[in-house]
Amino acid sequence: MTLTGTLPLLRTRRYGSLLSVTGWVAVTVTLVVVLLSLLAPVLAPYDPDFVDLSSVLGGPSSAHLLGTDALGRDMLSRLMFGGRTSLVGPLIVVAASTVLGLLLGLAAGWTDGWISRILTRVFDLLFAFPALLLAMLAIAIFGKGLMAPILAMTISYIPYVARLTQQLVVAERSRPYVQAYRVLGFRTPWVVLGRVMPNLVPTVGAQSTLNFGYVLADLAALSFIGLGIQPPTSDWGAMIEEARGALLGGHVLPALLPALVVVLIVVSINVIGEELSDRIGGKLS
Amino acid sequence: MSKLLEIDQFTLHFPGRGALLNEVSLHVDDGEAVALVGESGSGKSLTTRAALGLFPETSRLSGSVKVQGLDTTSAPAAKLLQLRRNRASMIFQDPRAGINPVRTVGDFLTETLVRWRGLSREESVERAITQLEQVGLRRTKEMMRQYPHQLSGGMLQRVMIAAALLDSPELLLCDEPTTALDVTTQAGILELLREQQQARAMGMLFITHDLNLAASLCDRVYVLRKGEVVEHGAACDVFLSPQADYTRQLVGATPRIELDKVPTAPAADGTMPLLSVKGLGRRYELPGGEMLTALNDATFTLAPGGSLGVVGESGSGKSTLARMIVALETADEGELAINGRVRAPRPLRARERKLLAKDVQIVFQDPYLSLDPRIAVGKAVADVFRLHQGQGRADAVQSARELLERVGIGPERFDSKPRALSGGQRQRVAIAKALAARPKLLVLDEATSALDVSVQAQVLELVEEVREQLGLTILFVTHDLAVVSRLCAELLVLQQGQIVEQGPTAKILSAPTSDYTRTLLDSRPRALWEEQPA
Amino acid sequence: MAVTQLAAPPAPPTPATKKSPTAAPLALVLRKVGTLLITLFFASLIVFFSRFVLPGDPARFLLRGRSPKPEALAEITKQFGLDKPPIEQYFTWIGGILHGDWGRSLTYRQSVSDVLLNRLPVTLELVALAAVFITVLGLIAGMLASLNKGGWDRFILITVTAAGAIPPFVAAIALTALFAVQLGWFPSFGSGDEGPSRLWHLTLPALALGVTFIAFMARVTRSSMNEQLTREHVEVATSRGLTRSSVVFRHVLRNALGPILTVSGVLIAGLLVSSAIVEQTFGLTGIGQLLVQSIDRLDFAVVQAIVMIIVTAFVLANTVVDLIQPLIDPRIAAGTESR
Repeated sequence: MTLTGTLPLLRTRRYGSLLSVTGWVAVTVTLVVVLLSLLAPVLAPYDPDFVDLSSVLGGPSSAHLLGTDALGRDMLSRLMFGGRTSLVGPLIVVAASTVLGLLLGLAAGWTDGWISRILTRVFDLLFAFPALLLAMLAIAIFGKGLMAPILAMTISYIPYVARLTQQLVVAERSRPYVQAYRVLGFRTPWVVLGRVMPNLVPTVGAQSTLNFGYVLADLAALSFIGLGIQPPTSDWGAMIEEARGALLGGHVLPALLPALVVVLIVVSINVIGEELSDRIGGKLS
Repeated sequence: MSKLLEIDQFTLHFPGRGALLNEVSLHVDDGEAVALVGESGSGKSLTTRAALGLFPETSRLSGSVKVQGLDTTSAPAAKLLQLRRNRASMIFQDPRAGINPVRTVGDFLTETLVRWRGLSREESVERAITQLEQVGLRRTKEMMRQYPHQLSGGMLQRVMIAAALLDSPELLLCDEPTTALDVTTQAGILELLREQQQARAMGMLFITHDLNLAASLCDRVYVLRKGEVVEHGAACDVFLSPQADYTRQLVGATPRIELDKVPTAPAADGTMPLLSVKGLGRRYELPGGEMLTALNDATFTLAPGGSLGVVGESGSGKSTLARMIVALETADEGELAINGRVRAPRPLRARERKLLAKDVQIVFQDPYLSLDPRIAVGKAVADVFRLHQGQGRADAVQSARELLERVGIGPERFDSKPRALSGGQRQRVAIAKALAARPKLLVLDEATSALDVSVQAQVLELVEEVREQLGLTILFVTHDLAVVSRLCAELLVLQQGQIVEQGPTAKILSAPTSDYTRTLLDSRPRALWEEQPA
Repeated sequence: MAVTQLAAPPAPPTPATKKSPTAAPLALVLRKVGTLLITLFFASLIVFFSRFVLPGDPARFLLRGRSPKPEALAEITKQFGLDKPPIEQYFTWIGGILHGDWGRSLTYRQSVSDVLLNRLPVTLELVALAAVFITVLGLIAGMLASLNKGGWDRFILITVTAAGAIPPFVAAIALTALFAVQLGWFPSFGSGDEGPSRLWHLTLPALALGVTFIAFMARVTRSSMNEQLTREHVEVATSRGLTRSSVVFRHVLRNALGPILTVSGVLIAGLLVSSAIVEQTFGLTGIGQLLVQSIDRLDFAVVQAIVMIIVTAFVLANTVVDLIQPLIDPRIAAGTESR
């Protein structure tokens, strides 16, 4: 039985660059935003909480590049500092859930006995709780702020990573190259951790990249309705809420700017995540 | 003389890339059976699809493809529809992929009839049932209501053929219709196709990679290589006295049963057999709760230096047997011993595995999945040396280089990842990996079945070489009797988990005692000119 | 000829092709319902026992933010049975739920079920309207993108990528600013009375809620259909002379439904939960807004109840999706394929 190779001939695959032009633009945007937020204490022109009632709702000017909000605070500085809060939450959630999810998914996918069964049931149970809901429940118990939702969302995202890992592991197990390792006498822990896992990490990582966007949006939503970050610290979600009054009065910037940044970052992350997914999907064939 | 299908200087390419088909010219007359032979990448599928006006998107065409005068490269959509509906039909390679799995067989057959024949539902069903019976199927009324997954591959292909014949086409295009089927099933399908083609006086263009098949069905042959016709003519001429180098190579590589070339087993000298199997059995539980017997009461031995072929069709248990020998599966009953060491009736522990690895290794069928995609091939082989021969990094790399050279992978490929290598090269690497452990017994589980004919011949040569040089014992699992006749001195024939015949290859192939073996031998495609009285 | 005769009868059953004893539909349904109930049971355990994670006096916990006078504490303890062992408290709660008694709201001083039932219609209507937008716009966009490779595909893909990144709260603000404040076409607050007024009031919220999901649905539809378009049975149908529209309707759409349906189950969860955000933003008197307010006012009984409702709705929706799958793809019914 010959495997005819006509299909790959008809599909164009990009072998050169890792990402497309759009992808690299997305990476640049993300890096710029991340850097600006990271270096906010050094780069921000003003103290983000400095209230200056004399320059309320000013448009962009030489003094304030992106204008001021309803309390005269500099928008650019607030955006930069807001970024620190907005970005750190999703980072923790994604990093923790990916690591834990990988480990649990590995355990569930490689073993056949009760461990695997119990883990699968636990995942199924956790799937019943949407991340944002679990976050709200956590806030109801632990109080407002970001700690509770971050913890809750980490727990909610673990099953997604774990289930994906589990499916990948189960598929890889039956692949001839893995069986060849076994027949060649390589020890199982080495095969699993040293050879199978690295083959999965790109796929799981690409998925986690997408999760970053979802988490960011959810946490910002929580801040927006007042359950997340509490004043005086601010994040982009809270900034949008604060700017509602100004918006209804016709001053668009204080609300538009943080909204744009949120959308921009989420779009960029999504584009990167999807391109990586596609690329990795093609790589292993 | 009317030309049913006339392809003239047909070129197909994608903008910015080389031509996939380069000035291909061929023709099929009314009532004539013509074969299009080529390996993967030859463009045979593209050529056939062109006859129906199925071109890949964004492709550029030149030249002409005329079916009864209508040029599909430039025909308007309405004419193409007419062509596909009335004048030409195609049978595809994999019926499971080709028939919509969520619709019934009856729906598949009648959808064309109802749509533009203006037949009523009942009439269409009648027509369909008649056609199904004509292609040799039974219980056709029931079948109409069944779904594709409920039928076997052979039955589905007959359904596909019935569908193609429903519209009484004048031109029948067949794209490797039997490649996905077992040898015995294949014989039936080929017979059916020949019957129908003759009875209906249809012109037929038959694609295959197998010269034997082409010779058994068609009067004329075109040989295609990398999008160009390298040779054409009457089948017996091309086969028996090929002109082009490539054709010569292809003919030489096509496996044939040549009884005088069968290797002989080493003289029995009373030493302990390398592999000893007694009453081995394995059962599976199916999702529905039923038990399937994969292997039942298998008993045989293999002496050191010997070569055993294990032959069977799908479901025969041959792969199960191979996997049990390398401990990828555990037997439910019976005994298995390698070098006198009896296998424990349970999954092996790590230490036991490592010991076993020095006795027996395996090469798998799928060249694309048997290598770790992330690891350079040189490193993959070196890792085995480090594990088994206890070599340090530098020594292992050196040993790996030497071994890879020996199997035909040059040093420039040492750091390549598997995806940069062809199927044949990957199998060579897989063999090197297995050999690096210095096993005494090498199991090859359909190791060449997924390769092109010419590549297969090269890999088989390599296996023979390596066997002689290293004194390996070989166990070759395959469905192809010709391959076995070339490589293995002894033969085991499996049918649905039972050994139905075993013994010296030459003896079995010349005078089989089991009906099943006889069927297997008879099912092999026989050239047309060989069937005619001398 | 001997060979034909041997090959003509149906081939001996091999594992993959044996006619699997089709799981009787009833057995399948019962199994799914059983799983549903078990999941709900364990979910209720999580919801109920989650507050025990916090150490300290449960009465104090429930009365956070309100005057913790000793008499009030004692009263609460007695009323909610907080001095009883947790297991017993759980069973009281569950028993109550099954009888329609969801506890008492501290804020409203009413039974939780009364408060909930009052507000349920608005949420249901909001979610339903959003679902309509999502299904109609999302499916159509996805199909258009998939079937028109040239112009539409690029355009839809870009729009969808951008739209998918707009969280409901951002969409809410943007839509309000544009359509309510600037143009004044729609109200920016309140849920209106029953009837056309309700519809008018819910349009912007439903759109805001739906934007991300419309994008998601469009993507999934597009990719599922694209996948089907490359399948061989589509090529076979074309080769037999079926018109393009026939091919799409008969061989692409139905086959593409499976993944779309699966995704719908997940979408429902997102809708239900994000509705809280949207309701809060637009001041709609639905249970989502109630949830947010109750968290704010530390009215835990209500929070518990609403979380349980949403989880139940979600698990129910998924079970329904699982039950529909075999109807679309008979291979799933036979157990030989799993999605």
